[in-house]
Amino acid sequence: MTRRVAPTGGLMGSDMRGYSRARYLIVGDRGISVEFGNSLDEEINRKVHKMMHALEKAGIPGVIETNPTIRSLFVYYDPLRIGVKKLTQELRKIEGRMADIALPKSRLFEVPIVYGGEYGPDFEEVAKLLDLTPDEIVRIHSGKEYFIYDTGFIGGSAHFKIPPPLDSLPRKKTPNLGVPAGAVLIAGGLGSVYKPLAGPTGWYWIGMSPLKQWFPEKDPPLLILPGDKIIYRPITPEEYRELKKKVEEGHSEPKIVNCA
Amino acid sequence: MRAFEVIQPGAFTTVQDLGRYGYQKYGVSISGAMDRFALRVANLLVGNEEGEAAIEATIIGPKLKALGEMRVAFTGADLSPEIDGKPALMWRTLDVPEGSILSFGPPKSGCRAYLAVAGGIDLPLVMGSRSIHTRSNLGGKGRPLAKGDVIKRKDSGIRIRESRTYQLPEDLVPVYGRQWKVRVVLGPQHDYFSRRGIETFLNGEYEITPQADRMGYRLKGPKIEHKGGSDILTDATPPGSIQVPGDGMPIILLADGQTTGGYSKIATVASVDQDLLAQARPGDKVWFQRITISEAHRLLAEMEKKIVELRRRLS
Repeated sequence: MTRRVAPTGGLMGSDMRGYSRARYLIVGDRGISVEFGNSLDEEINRKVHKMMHALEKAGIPGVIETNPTIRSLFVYYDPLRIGVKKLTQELRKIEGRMADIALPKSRLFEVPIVYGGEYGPDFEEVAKLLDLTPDEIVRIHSGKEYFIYDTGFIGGSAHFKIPPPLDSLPRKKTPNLGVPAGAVLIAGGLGSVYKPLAGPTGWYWIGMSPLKQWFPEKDPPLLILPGDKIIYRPITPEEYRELKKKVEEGHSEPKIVNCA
Repeated sequence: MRAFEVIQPGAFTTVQDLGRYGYQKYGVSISGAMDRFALRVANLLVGNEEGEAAIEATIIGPKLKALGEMRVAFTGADLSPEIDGKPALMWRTLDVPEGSILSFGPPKSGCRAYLAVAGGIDLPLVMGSRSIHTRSNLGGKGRPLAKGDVIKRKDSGIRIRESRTYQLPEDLVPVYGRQWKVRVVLGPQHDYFSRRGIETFLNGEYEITPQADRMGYRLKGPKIEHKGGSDILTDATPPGSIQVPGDGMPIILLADGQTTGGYSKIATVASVDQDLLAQARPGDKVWFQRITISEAHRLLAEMEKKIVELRRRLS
């Protein structure tokens, strides 16, 4: 069932464009993980979402739901309604016609951020660890558009690939047990646009955004979705407080820069 | 209609149904009853559809006042349920008059008890489910039940004095010990572990640490060896996933587990044994036994046959 390929031990696989054929991994008795590669790569991530859209359209009885991640599509099924062999066949069929599948348009969100101080208690430490000045970190972190790979963990945390040298930061040795919603985090080669819900984290907390990501009463319940892009815009603490108030009162719509 | 007033909330009491489906892609945990078998049976015993919402109590149960005459059933862990101070029978239909006090005493066996009420607990549906997920504040008030809460139920339409009561056949009542053989299907990242690491995992004795809740259980025991690094590029972590971080100690993710994670997963707990694990407590011993996916599917089909048979007998 599972095609074996050379084991991959490291975080970043050597395959920058993904496997020539997907790996179908058994995940217990209710899941299959369709793995397209082992690296943070937009092309690999698009395959994940193409398969998700095609699978949702196909409406295969017994498929309960999917969970697209950075480089694999998790398919949750009811084994009393569909066998794993049959499901794998269906998924392979979709894999065979992925080139024809179109994805929704990507949106570019502008994300206001205030860096450091009480808004990013780990900012100084990050600067020290990377031997950069605070200005350099701000310039690098807010200097480019980021592609969103997944929305996961709890409450749909949106993740992107962090540029060098910020990508060399590991996870923190001691997790922070209480980080507020809105906290901007980096670690392990990834950035979290801002945390949807308060909670613990093992990532470095470098700033705060006044925006919200988690809207449980809406469908979809998230603002920023995989395939979207974001760019940070540094703001002052005063601007943060003003925007935060507007967001909480529901008077501020996030700025979508373009719809390319 | 009103069902209960919470007099004492207990250690961690929530409302759960069979969970929230279709939203893992947005970072929403499935949640739902930790012991799905016990929830389904409790519902069938009071004449509900098996997936209605019921009360899930953890080790120390709540004290509730019945705000009307109603039909109830206790299943799952034996937390010494009582009605008006007298021991209540489990795994059977009980009719309680208005004003009754439903309470729990010392935990005798298992960890999570279910209290179903005819009609089902009524909370607004959030993303298709009434389950309370505290970490994302979903369902009910987004927190465990608290003193003074009034819990509603849907009207069952049953005229209780005139309808039959039921009891789960003895041979179907699960027995919960303090030692658990947990069947697992290897993968999806067993190739991250050395041969010795996998042998350690399958032969070692593990203990459930106090860090055990609806999200997952941290275990301690012999260190499981990776081939190289322990971290993967984050992927899906469905309930039952057994993650092994760099310290070599397994973490079993359960109903409220996060939807993605970056630790390699050595194996996944068979669905039927996820129900049993819900009844394990900190300090309990766990052994893992490898089975094939076909065996896991056969076990699941057998379990469903039991439920179908039960539904037939109760209808």
